[in-house]
Amino acid sequence: MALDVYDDIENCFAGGWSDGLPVIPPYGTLVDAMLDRLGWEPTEIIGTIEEQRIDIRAEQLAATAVMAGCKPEYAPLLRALSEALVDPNFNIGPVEVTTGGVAALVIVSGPAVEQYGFEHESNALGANNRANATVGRYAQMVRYFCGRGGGTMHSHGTMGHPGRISFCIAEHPDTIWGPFHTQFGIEADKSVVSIMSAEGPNSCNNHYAETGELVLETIADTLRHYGSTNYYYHSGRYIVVICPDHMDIIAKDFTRDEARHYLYENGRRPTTELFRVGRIHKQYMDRQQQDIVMDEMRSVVRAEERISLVEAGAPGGKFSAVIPGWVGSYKIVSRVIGG
Amino acid sequence: MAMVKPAERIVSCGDVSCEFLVDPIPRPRPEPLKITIRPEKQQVVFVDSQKPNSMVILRRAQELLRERGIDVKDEIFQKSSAGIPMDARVLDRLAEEGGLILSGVND
Repeated sequence: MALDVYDDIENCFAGGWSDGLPVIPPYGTLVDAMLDRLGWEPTEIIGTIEEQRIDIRAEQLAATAVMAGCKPEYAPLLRALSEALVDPNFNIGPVEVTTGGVAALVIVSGPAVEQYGFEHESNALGANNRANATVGRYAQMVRYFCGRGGGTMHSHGTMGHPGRISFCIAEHPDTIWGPFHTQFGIEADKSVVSIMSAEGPNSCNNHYAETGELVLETIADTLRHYGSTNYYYHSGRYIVVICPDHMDIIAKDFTRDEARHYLYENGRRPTTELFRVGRIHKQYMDRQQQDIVMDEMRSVVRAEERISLVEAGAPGGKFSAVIPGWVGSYKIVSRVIGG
Repeated sequence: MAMVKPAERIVSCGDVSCEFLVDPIPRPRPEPLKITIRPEKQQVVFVDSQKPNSMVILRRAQELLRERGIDVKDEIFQKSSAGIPMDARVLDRLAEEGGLILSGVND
């Protein structure tokens, strides 16, 4: 029997039913059990990608959850996550095929973090923990399986990043500034899953700063580096993940809104410098999205609200992280779990 | 790597019976095809996706086609963004074109 399962895993590889890692074969009995917990009928259409003429059925999402290694107990969270993934605001097809090589970043916040056993401290952006790894993997597999027109389109990511295999952050259940989702008007006591198209994380180290402003200045410098994709289209966004030791320093001097405002005002470079290095181009000055104003400082984002802050990571180190969103989709899509 | 379309079905066989694994991949709905044998007008029309350098590539393509005696519409239509589908206003304008429409220039 064990050899049969191994054959099935190999057949999933050979048939293109894999993200590059071994999957749990989607046997009908396992998929039915997952569907039962999800509360969906097998042929129910959960989402549509109209430009690809794709209807996404419940059984396909349930099969993907099984393949990713998710426990059926995760179903309420997976249901909310699935609805977010197929929301047109997330733009799943272009997220999959863009040259930007982005992932579907999952952020879990509120009581669900402890309820489902998510790791929110050690290696918070890449935790070796079942809930983080499999829920993050599920989101990437849905992106990969559903975003390519049933296999009729290529994924064109130039570099991609490891988050395209799995990318899930769980926020500390007890935050200093309030849960992540309160930045989007959702009540603090809710359990929420949010998604964003995301480039890979940039580590942001500062072990010696003694004021919040100096830590934020360091983070702003990471936001404004020349290579930030957001400079030209000006249509992306950022997640800033702040570690506990940095939070202790920043929160003495700044509220969350003040910290975000500081990052918005300081995450900038002069347009003259951006022209000089070729990050923006005079030929495209007239493009509606770009709003380039000569001789002024150019922010990496169009509006302050496009920077959002998450509290996660282990105490004892002073490494925060900046995660750029993809320029084709600036929205964070959130769903209340069990809502 | 060459693109390989995913399998539409995978069978798992044990000692006495077989079952289909549940296909996780949605496929496009078939759509009735409307085929125009030839464009109403022998002209090429370009659409700019607003990717970096796209206009440079499209203008050069216009030049090359004209050098070969092909009629190319001077106006280049524009999507509002490379990251989202073409909006209805641009689609409606394209539908009025009688020529061959080319899009999809990349970085």
